[in-house]
Amino acid sequence: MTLLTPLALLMLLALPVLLWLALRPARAQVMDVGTLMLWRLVAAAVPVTARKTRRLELLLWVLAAAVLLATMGAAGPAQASAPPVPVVAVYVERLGTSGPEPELESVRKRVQEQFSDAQLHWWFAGDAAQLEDLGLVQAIAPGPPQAEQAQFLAASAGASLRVMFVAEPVADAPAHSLVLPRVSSQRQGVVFEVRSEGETLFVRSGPDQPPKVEGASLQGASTRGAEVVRQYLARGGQVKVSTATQSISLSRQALGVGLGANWAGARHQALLAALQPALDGTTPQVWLGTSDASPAVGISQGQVQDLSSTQVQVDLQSPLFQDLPLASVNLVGQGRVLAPRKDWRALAVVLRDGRVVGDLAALSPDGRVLEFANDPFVDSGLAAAALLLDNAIGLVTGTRASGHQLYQRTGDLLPTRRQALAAPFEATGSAEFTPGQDATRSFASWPLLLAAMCSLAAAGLVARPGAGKT
Amino acid sequence: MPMPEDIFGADFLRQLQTLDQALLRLRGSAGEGIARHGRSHGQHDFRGHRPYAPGDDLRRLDWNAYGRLGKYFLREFERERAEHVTLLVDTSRSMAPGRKHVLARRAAAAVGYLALARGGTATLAGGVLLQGQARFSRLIEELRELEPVQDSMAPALVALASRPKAPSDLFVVTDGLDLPESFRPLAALSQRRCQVTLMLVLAPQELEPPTHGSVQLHGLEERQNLAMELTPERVMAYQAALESHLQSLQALALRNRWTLAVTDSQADLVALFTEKLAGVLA
Repeated sequence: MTLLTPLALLMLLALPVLLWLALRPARAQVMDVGTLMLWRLVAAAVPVTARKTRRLELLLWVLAAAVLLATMGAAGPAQASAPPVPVVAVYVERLGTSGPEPELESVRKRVQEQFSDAQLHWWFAGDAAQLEDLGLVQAIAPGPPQAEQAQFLAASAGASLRVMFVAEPVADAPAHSLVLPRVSSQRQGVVFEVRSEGETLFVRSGPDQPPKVEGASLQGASTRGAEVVRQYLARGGQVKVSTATQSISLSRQALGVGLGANWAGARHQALLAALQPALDGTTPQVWLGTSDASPAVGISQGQVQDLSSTQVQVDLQSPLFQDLPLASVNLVGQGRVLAPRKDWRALAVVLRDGRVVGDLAALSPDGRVLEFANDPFVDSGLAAAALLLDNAIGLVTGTRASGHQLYQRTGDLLPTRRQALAAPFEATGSAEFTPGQDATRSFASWPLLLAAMCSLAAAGLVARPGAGKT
Repeated sequence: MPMPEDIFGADFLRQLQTLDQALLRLRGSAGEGIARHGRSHGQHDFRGHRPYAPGDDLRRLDWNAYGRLGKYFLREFERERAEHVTLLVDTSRSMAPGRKHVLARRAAAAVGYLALARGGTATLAGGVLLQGQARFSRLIEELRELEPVQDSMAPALVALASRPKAPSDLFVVTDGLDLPESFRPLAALSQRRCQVTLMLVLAPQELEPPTHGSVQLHGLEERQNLAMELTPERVMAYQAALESHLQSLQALALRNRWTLAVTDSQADLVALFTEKLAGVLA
């Protein structure tokens, strides 16, 4: 609040003027009379009394209050606050390395140099400890870049400027945002995928700086853009892939299969051979032909019944029948059916006149035992039987035999392709701050409102009956 | 620069004609020779002669007297003598407030006009005797000169009373705001068969003073100030004093057989004469 406001000064001057007008001696009005003869008689008869002490009337008080309040209002009382410091919210995208995040120091320098007068709020989904010395670091839930950026944009809505250090350009940069490349140069040789198909290993990485691979020999390489795919042939049980910042270990883990008494036919052996070379594990990971263990795929578990004039209904939503040529699958070959059991889920049933005669395939409540009433692996065509077995193993173990990787990676997670191939790009957006919110809270309206009420009260006093009469 | 007001302008002259007609009607309705205060004479009673003065109506010269005495004498009748009016206008400064002097001079002019119109004479106290309607303009000129600048009317009264020959019909216009003793010369004139008509003109603020505020009363006549808080009590006291003063003058008028009229300075001239002074002039 300052009284140096011209209006406030004027109003402040009005107060002494008002008081002077109220307290000044009333100037006698000069009245010409022909003669004082009679008036002297009057003065003698009714002596002049002492002038009554002039008192401040209520009207004056009300007017003075109105002027004072109006002066206060014009002076603009407000709760002053420090000039708003622009807040710059900085999002740093993770690059998915197990060790220290690369180029964090570079990011910090770029931000602090460009926004030295701003208050920096950092947003990072990685290990916040790496940014602790930067001040305020807000953690956001790790996830895909789009999800992380959405969290950041929502949480930093009040910031003066948002700066995003990202691995790839953002198509539509939000308002008051500056999108900068996360890295100052193309990342090189960062492995982001290692996959095995039998004995063959496929290693995908960034350009240049090929990884060092132990326990496998290079078979070939292909390049697509900045991405390089290298193909290796594993030679032993352990393979090690190393880069400057990564150390990836792979160990051979074949799928172990236990065989029940029912799994003894030639067809059964042929199906096992079709799953080679994944089936050389010593520890059974799945049992075939029996349902005494878990996980297991049992066969010929039903009782023979008359299945004439019946229909077969299968649960097509079940993974058991995924990508399966049902016409080549025979689930009723031996005329057996399973008696429905509580909590077991029927995947294929026999119906007669719309009523269930029995189950042809059922899944245990824990989903780890699959029983067939007959032996569809023998009764069906070979290809269909192989697909059915692959699906059955996948149903009870979670991974189909065909999806089982012989060499499985251990250790830290690999970066994503986006993280591994991060490269500089042209910065987009604007570095201009959002106009800061006025942090000053004005109270001018209250005294002005009270002044108006006092003025109304004064008007009421003037207009009241009998006001102004002698 | 505004033109000075002509208090005897065209409007005033029209008022005079209206007044003349109104008074003639009054006379007709009341009958000839209507009794007036202290008068019991007929219209054509021969009263005597007086020396000729310039401006007199030559038709009234008494040729017989001229033949015998070799001097011009005018025949005077009782009725005619009554129309030989002498006008005394108070020119003291107290006549200024409320334009009292304007009404005073207009009233005097009206009386003079009526006298001249009826073949009488009119004389402004201290001035020459005027006769004939043609001399009315002269009377007006003399009245125009009478500004309220004198200290008091008393010297004029004394001078008039000290004249060897008392006026037969005296019309005095004043505000009366003098001590009753100052009107003694009028009483003396009454003793000398002078018919006195006293017209008191008071300003509105003298009749109804304002009742609020501090005032500085400036006495024009005394040229002195008197500070006063005009409370309702004082105003009432003033009005009581004024009433008492007017009653004193009323008593004086009754005792000396004066005709007395009190009027407001804003009063209409025709109404004033046809109502308050009809008995005097009709």
